[in-house]
Amino acid sequence: MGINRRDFLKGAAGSGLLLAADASPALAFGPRTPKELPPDAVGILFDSTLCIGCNACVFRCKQANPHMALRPEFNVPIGGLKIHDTPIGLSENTLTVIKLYKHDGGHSFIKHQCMHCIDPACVSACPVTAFTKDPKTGIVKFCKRVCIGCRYCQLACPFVAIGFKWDEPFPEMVRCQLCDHLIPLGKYAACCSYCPTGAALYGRVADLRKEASRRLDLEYGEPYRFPVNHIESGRKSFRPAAKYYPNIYGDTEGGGLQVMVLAGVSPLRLGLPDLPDVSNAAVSEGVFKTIYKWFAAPIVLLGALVYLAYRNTEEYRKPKDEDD
Amino acid sequence: MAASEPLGGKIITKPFIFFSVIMFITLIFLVERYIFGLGSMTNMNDGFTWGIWKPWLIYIGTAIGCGGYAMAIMVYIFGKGTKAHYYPLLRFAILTSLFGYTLGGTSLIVDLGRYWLFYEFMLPWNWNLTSVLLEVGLCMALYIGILWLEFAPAVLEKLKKKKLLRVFKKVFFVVVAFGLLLPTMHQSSLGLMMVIVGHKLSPLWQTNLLPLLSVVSAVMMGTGAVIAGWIGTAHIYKRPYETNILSRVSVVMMGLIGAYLVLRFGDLIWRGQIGLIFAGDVNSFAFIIENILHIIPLLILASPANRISPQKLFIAGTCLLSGGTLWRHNYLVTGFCPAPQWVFFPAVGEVVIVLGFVAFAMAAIPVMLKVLPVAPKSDH
Repeated sequence: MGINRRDFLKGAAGSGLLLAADASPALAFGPRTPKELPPDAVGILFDSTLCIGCNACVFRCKQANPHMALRPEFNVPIGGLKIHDTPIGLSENTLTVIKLYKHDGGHSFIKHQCMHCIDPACVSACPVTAFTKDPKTGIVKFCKRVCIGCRYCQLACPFVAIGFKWDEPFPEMVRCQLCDHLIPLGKYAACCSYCPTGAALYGRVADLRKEASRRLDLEYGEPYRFPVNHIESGRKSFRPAAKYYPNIYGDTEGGGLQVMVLAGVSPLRLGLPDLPDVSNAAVSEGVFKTIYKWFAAPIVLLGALVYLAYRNTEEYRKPKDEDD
Repeated sequence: MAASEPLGGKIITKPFIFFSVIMFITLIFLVERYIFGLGSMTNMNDGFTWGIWKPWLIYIGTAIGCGGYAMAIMVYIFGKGTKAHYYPLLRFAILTSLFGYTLGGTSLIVDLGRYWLFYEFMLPWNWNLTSVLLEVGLCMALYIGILWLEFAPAVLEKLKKKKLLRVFKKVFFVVVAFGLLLPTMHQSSLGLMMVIVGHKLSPLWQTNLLPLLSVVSAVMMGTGAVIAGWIGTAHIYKRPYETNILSRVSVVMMGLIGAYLVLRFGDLIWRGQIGLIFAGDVNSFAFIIENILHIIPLLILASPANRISPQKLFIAGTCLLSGGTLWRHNYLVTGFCPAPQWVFFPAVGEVVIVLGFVAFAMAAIPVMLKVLPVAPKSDH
């Protein structure tokens, strides 16, 4: 049998080289530098302790986004009929939804929607740049004109907040864009402008963060003037503060979010994922950009391979008559 | 170089008819998909947005199709002075790659939601340079072209285009070099694509080493496909088993399986997640099976007597193939949980489409073997 030690060692050394070539960047390089929040970025502060579950935001959201052709979803029979729009989760027809979570005899409402990450995975993942982050408002926008429907954005999104029109032959992706089409009209996110209690509050993220920390500093039961609709609207709702869980979800989670959540219990118990402070996009790009920095590694490897292949096909290049 | 010859024989056989019937059934589902949308015949949803098509047809299909890549590494990189030994099976390996990759690429026409805009992917001003998928897509498209070029000599020989063949042989090394570079790039990127999903993938699989593991695993799966595929072919068509080549290949495989297992378990220990193996849930069960399928071939190939036995080699090759397949299935489907409320089990239509692509390969590969000079020339 023709297995000799030399060949084995060569093979082993070769595989080792192959491994080393690939391993060094993956092992040695950490995440790329985190993205910064644009100073005038806008967002939403959702305060679960103020939400009464009226679903005005869900209804107004569909009304405010006619261009996305969001249809009502009849999931719950009421009096034997399915007539009310009762979405049970985010989908191609629902960009925001209010969910009820029960815990320890109490309950909390939570608003699910695109969280407008400061360092969004969808923007990093989309191969055709259909997703962009507005440099001024920080709103993550989607342009369907170039979308090829690969659905990598859905896979990458930590909140599963991107919908796909599964039942259409010519589908598209659908997601919350914080009503950026209303901004030129002097309006803002429909869910916030119609929220009666101020649970969903629109405003500059910097202002919302300050507002959120003020609320965390409140004593339980302390009377407080909660801003309603827009943080600069001047409208206030005067009521005692609830007991807060001492964490602003979205302050650091996932590299920071422009949609933040305050709640009476840990937001992780309200269906929000437990995200590390480094965004997934930064981790992925850290590895990716190291391997492909200046495209140097592939070019060097190609050079070596051309040389080896040239050397090892010497026989093959010689004109021979064996094909006759 | 060792010469190749067509196997000859009838084209329309019973298996050919069987696979054609499966392809016809697939067509019915395809009509449904294009008229009523993806949701009509799949269980894909916003959580499990990739279902099983990309995992099976792209991730697993192209990894099986890495036979050409694996054999080319052995022939052109470590083959100095020994290429006469590996060479005969190279063309067969490239044929399997040709199908693995071409079908994987073609499956995108079915899988892409907005397939009619596919050209947007090719336009440089659309490219998002942070997207791992962009690298995978472009690199794979290029490699499909390279594979057809690598396979071209077989076609040129058949057509007796001697002049063209001679010119082609002169520049062949450039094709070979690209054929080695591109799979290294996109197979590692395929693994890297899952890094961005973060917590949605179980820590048993989620690691920054995914790109490295994916390349190693692709070489192992490709080789497994060549070993099992060739022994199967040789058995059916009464050809020599070429065990002397396969035994040399399997020695290299042992090194690779060992390296893979060390990386896999070392990484789990390094990240402190090794305890999840004993969690007793579906993930831990899947993990154990997946790794047993990697350990069995290592044990089989450890004995020199097994390395020249066609049966044992076939078992080892099949295990390697299924182990790699399961690993990919696990890190894309089993270990993937977008959020607790999402559930997924593939619909009949999804499975049929996958089977349709497999049936196409199973019907077409024998035809290619019979018509084109691919199989190594037998001496008797």
